[in-house]
Amino acid sequence: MPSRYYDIDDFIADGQKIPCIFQTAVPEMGYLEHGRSESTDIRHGARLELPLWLAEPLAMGVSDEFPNGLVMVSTPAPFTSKIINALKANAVNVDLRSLTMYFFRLAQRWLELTGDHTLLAQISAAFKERAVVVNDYAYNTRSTSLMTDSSEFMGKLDDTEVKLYKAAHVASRQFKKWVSIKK
Amino acid sequence: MALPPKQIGTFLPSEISFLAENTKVTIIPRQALDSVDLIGLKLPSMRPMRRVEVPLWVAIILKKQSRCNIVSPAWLSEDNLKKAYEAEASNMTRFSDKLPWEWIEVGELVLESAPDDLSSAPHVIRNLLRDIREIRQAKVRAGLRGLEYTYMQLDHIGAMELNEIRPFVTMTMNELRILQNSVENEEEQAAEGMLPDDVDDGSDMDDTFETREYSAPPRNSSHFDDSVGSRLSRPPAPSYDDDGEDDDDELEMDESYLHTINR
Repeated sequence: MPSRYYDIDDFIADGQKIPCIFQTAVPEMGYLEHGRSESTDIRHGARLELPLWLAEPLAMGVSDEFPNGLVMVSTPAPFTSKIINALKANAVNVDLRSLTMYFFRLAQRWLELTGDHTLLAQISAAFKERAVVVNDYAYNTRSTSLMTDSSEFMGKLDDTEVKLYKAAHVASRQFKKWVSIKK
Repeated sequence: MALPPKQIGTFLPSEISFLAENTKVTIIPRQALDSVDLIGLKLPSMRPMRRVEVPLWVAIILKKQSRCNIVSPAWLSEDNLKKAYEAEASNMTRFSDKLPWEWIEVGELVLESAPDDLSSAPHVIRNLLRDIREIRQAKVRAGLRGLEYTYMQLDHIGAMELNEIRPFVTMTMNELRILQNSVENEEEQAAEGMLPDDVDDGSDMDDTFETREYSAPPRNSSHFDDSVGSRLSRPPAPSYDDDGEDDDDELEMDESYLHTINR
């Protein structure tokens, strides 16, 4: 991805594993599958989780022999309809961190691959909904007005949202500091 | 960069406050002072009880030395602040235009340096300022729900308020833009041309600046579309050799992206 070459987050997102189904047998690579010995092959139709950077070129047609690629990529766990429906129902309560630390970076890569507009709308809406709450928590660290423990919510944030929280929190803290010096 | 990350791309409140000290205020000198030539500024000659306009920082220095009285700005009077509060309360979707760009900073500075020159008791003014700030914060908070990746319009917001929400807003919009860019298509590019390039009446420099700042449309969209767009959905092997010509564009994208990320 030339345009984001130096972006470390993109790098990490690329390392996230996504489920793939092999369209061909791969000799001598069976040890990649769980619990199989070195001398076996990856079978045709085997399901294996591959990092995104590897799955992407493998899934693209590389030769006439395999016009549809060597593997077939299936939807990663964080973007299955179960999770997306949960995000639609109440984005704020979904524990993205337990799904993947880099939900939105992975979403970006996945959307690039699929070009799925419905998914884009759903993920953008979920991000906005969560961002507003992130902002609220960033401004009221010791708040009782939100009636919930902030650490519980914070534990559900993905990496992008944690950065967002930090930025908003620093800005609000700096302002409060400045006001308190003035008084 | 030599600056700590949190200071890249945004100002500290103290810096905003420093900038606001250039605002002109009227003072009533108590002593005579000849005109002073400063770099980029000439202080007018002062005579006792003759009103002159000087930058706020000069007024603060003179006030500290008891050489002048500061005439508090008209908007900082109890009446006008009450009117401003009512204007804020009567329209929950817009900021009122009764307060200047640097109202928080100037308000604090005058309250701090010349509480005795205010037309009403300092605590009354302070409470009014706080009420206004709170009601405006509520509007900002409500406004964040409607955040889009293209632009954001915040007419009559104050410098300090803008500075406070800047990191959050820019990061959120950047994230939305990144997501949007990942599924760029033709409709998208058609819509890009229709972005409002002048949504403001242009009467206020600050507003216009702001709108521009937030209205950056998705950049390099055509490039993204060609080389990145839906690769998997296209059965034939995509070409890897189509990026040869626009290396410069890509480099530019790198820098701007990193810059926003750094915030």
